[in-house]
Amino acid sequence: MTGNSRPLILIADDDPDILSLVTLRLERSGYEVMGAGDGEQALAAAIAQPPDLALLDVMMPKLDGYELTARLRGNEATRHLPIILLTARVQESDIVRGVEAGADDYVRKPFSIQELRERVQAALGR
Amino acid sequence: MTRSTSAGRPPRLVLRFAVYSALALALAGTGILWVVRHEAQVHAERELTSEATSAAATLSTELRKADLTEPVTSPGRLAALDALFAPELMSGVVRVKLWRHDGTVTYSNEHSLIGTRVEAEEIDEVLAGRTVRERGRLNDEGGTGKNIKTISAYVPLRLAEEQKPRGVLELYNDYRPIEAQVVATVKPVALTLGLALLLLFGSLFPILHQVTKALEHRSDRLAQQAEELERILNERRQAVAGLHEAESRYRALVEQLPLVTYIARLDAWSSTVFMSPQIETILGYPAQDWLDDPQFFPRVLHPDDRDRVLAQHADAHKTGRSFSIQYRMIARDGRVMWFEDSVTIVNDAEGKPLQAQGFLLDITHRKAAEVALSESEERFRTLVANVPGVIFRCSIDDDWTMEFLSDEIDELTGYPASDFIGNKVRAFASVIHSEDAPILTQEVEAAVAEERPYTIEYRTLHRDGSIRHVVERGQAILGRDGETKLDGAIFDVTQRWTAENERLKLASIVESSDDAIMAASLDGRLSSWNSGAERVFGYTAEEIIGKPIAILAPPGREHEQHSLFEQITAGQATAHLESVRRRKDGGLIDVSFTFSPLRDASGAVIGASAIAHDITERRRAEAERERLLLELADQNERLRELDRLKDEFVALVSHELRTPLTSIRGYLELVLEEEAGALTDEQRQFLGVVERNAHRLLALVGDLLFLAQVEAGKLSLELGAVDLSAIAVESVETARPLAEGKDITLTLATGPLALITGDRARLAQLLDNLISNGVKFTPPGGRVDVRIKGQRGNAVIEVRDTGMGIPSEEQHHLFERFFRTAKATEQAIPGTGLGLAISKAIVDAHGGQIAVASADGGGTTFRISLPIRQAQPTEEEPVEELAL
Repeated sequence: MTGNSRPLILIADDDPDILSLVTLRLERSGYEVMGAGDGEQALAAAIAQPPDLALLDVMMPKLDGYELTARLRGNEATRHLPIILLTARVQESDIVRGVEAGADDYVRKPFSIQELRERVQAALGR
Repeated sequence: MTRSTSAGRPPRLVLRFAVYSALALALAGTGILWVVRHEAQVHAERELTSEATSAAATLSTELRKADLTEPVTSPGRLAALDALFAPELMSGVVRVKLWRHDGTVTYSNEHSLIGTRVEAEEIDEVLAGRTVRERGRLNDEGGTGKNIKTISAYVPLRLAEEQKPRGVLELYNDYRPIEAQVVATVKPVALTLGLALLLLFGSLFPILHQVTKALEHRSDRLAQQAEELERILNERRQAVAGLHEAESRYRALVEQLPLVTYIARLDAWSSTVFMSPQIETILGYPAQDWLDDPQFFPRVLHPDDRDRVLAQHADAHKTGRSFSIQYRMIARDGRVMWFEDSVTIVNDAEGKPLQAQGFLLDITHRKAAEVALSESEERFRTLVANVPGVIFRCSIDDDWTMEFLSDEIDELTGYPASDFIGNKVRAFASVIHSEDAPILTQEVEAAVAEERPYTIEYRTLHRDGSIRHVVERGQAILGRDGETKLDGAIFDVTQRWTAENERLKLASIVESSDDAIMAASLDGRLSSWNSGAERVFGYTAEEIIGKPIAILAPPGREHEQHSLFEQITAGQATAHLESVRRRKDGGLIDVSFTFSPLRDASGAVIGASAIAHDITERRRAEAERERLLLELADQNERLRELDRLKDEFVALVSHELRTPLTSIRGYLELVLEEEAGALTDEQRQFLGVVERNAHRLLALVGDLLFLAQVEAGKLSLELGAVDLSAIAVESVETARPLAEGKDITLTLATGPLALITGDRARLAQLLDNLISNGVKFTPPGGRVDVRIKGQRGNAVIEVRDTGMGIPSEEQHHLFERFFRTAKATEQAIPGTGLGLAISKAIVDAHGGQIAVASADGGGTTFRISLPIRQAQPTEEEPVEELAL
């Protein structure tokens, strides 16, 4: 945690368009955002500077969202980090898998920015 | 005799009298004439004789001795004699003969007769000194000339001085002059006589007639009187005979009548006052015994009858009513005798009972006969009842009217015999099966006509509706009343018939079986072989019966048969033994054998039955199935692989399609929120189009993914308590802008409805689909009405539109994926053809039903019914997949 009053959110997505869209939206909503283009980057960033919240895409090269969640939960620094999974998958098995890996919530793609904001605020408020 | 017949009598009688008197007169006349004639004749003949005698006297001198000793032959002497006897000298003489004493004619003026000899007795008579006359015909003794009637006179001839006649002279006189003389004498006499008689007859006839008439009249009267007399006499005779008969009859009756009269007091013992004497001959006790002992009557009464009889007597004494009673008395010799006692109570002038008088009739024989009859009847009844069939006698009519019918009929038809007697309740014809009735009639008529017994099988109907098979044997007999009747017996052969039928059925089953069914004796020889066996093994029954069953075993398996028969002998069956057998053509077949022991009626094993089922085909099929199963497993493996690939594909599509769409939406939102600067109206309008299409694309992807899940059976519902009415309100409001844009009236009617258990998001999707469909396919100005209501434990959603309707041939395909009606395509109504498929999937997942009612051009109604399950109090957490 920094002294900065703005919460730091880690966003990981292999789609740069979505990455920059979410970054832009969250920054404009008053959050500190750090982005990552794949799972490994995201893991490194999170360990280097633990964020207040992580938004993780499920389908990413190198390290997918489930695996990343599991790793973060396995690390002392990020053990209690709130994690929201972003997924285009709709099947129940996907959600179950996410919860098992340690995610706190999930948001289905496509999402509206309003919905995302609400979920982020909810996760941070906990 | 009557008057009319006697009227014809007088003429006949008169005639008779006339004839008789005429005959008498004629006879008298004839007699007189005969006497006169005879006298005339005799006179004439006498004259002739005297003439001959005188001639003979004259001749005695003229004749020579020689003329009478030898036939005269010398012409001189002949001429002299001819001159002597010249006819001129002797009137009426037509011939002369001189006879020698020995009958030789010595001379005749008919010379041819000289020397002829005739044995004439007259000659001796004449020689003895008598004259003889003889009538005859001239040529009776030869000669010529006219053979006229003559009378000849024989006179003796004496020569001169001789006393003794030397010969006889016969003179033939013509009789005609004599006759004429007689007639001349008789004729006037006859005439006079005839006239006199005629006169006499004439004067006699009227007298006769009168006398006859009077006689007849009297005779008629006499006849009538005689007749009358005879009649009276007859009557008398009959009356007398009748009297005699009646008298003898009554006497006999009285003497022989086993009837005893008595008079008794009206006391406790009915003590006897008078008893007629016959009692002694009947019971052996003299009448006096009865009078002496007041208790005699009860004493001779049979002990078993005593109380009954005395009670009856006592009762009559009180009531004064006459009665009749039968009872027994014990005779003196110990015999039990039956009597009929007819008792009359005699009242005195004041009407009070005075005494009893009665008749005792010996009915012992009648009783015995009654007993015998009832015993005989009982025997007959028992016999009939024990016959295992129905005995009958009936008329030969349309009803088979029964005169007698045994009780067994109840068993056969369920109706008592009395129902049928005289067709009282029903005719016997009514229990005959209608199809058999004509045959029965025909057979009976034929049998009656040919005077033979008949046997016929037919069916009868039982009261309980069952059909019985019977055999009837019968024969026509001439009844006592002269009518021809039918006597016979009916036997129920239903069981036999059923058994026979069963047997035939079994035989037919065996025969028609595809399996080989055979039987063998215990020594292993085949005794039965069905057509299935012929097909399976190729042997005909003729070929194989009698051959050992081992003929069917292929080499090396003969021992099987041996052990099988050991088991059979022990009474054990072997089922489903799978083995190999050899056909006639040598080919081997797989068979499944079942061997069972065959038993006789006593249960002893007498052989074996075998059923062989050809399983060659089954074996082949089993092999084929195993092969197919392996193939199937292979395919399943491939399918599982494909399934996995599909899952991956779905995941890929989800990700790969949604991810770019997420970007498109996100940036559009940014732009539209004017985060990147103010927009002109035109820019905003164009971006709106982009957003709308992005939304459509997303919806399509969502639908495809949904159906993929359904297909994969991976659709899962997030169940919760759902308020359908609330959802309906939302869905209607969502569709309202679209409806208003098309000028369509959109209404919602909701009735009271409990919460249902369901997936809120899916149900909302369902309602959205149906309502937007309705609006989409309804032309402007129409209406779409939504109704939600509860109905018998179901929640019912109805969406009715006034749209173009769905042709019935298209309704079947309505819920198929990607199906679009022809009209939707024609009119370019946007859509993917997935909406209704999804709707149906949602309804199915909720255990409900969806139905469509539509007429081409007449609007469409979708009706959905969802079961209302008691909503579990779970947290409702809708997951908005496609929310904007």
